Amino acid sequence: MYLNLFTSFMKVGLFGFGGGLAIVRLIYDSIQDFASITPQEFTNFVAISQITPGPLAINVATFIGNEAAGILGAAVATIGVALPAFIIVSIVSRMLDKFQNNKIVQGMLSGIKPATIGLIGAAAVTLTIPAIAGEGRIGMGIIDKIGVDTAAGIGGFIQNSPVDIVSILILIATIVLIQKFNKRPIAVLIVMGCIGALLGV
Amino acid sequence: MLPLLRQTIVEDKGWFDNDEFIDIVSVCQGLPGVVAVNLATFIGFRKRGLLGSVVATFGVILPSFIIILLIARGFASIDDNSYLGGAMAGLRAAALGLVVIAIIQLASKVFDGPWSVLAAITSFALIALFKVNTVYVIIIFIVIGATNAVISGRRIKKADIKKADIKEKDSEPSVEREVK
Repeated sequence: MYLNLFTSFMKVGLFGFGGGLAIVRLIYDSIQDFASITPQEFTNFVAISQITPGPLAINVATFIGNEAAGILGAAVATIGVALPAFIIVSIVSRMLDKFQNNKIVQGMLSGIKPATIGLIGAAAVTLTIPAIAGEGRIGMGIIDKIGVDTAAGIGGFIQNSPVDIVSILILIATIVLIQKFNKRPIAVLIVMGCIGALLGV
Repeated sequence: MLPLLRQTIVEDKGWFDNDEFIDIVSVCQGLPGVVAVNLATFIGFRKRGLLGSVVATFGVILPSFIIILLIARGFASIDDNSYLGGAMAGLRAAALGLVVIAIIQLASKVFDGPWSVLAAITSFALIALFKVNTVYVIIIFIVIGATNAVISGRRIKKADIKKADIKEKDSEPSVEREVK
């Protein structure tokens, strides 16, 4: 297990181009063979990693390592993701100018750049079902308590819908608040978490 | 994160000037892996060699590592709580929102013609629809980018040679022949 964790996360460190969110799907693919982490758990890890300080990929690596094999697993996964950086950076830092001016290196980088959008899109697909149709829907307990007739009316509509309508509203609100009103992402995420907590499941 | 780093490295410590810092950041963003780890390794390496890069990298990893372990422990101790479940459901939805925003913002920066759009759609389709391993998809696009650079580089060289030929014929044809 430790070896699996180490090699998978080293792969992530070696091929993870394009920063945090582009790496998410790479991590998800790499751990499928050996770790029994459900999409819902994985999405929880990514979500928490976005509101905690520190690099996203490191946070997710620590989470998954810990879930799969305890504290030592967390250490192995985290070191695995950071290790390739030593090798790559120690080579590149000796020839910074050559690296920046090399046509082939620049070609590689410009080749991967648009593909990064596809990588993040694939990450979005991985997160979608747990995010808007996951187990434990927001507000169900409250609807039950208020005693709305579940066969009819808004309460029934929300309870019987195939996707979690409250979650979709939160998703839309998040996008609008950050994209249109330039609110700080972390603040928006914390507010959305609080709304979820107030409503319960 | 970058403003904080710039403040520490350029202004407080004076390790690099602003231009050097921008250079280092742009290189580290191009390298694979976690950008913050790349930066720490790079700066540590430049200042104090291999040991410096190990120390700097541990410095940037350790706080996240401890925080996440604490949160994971906390989670294990609270099972099936309605409020926690609600908070997580809210966070999951909002986290997906962040991913969507990242796509929108990156697309508006990177898309500069039909090829970049096609590349993004292809990489998405390969991974999400055809379940191709992400590593292979990344390698494919690196190879395409490198090949493209080599081909266009050759074209430029050929064009240069042709120009040189013309110049040669125009100005001093005898010199080259004498050398030969």
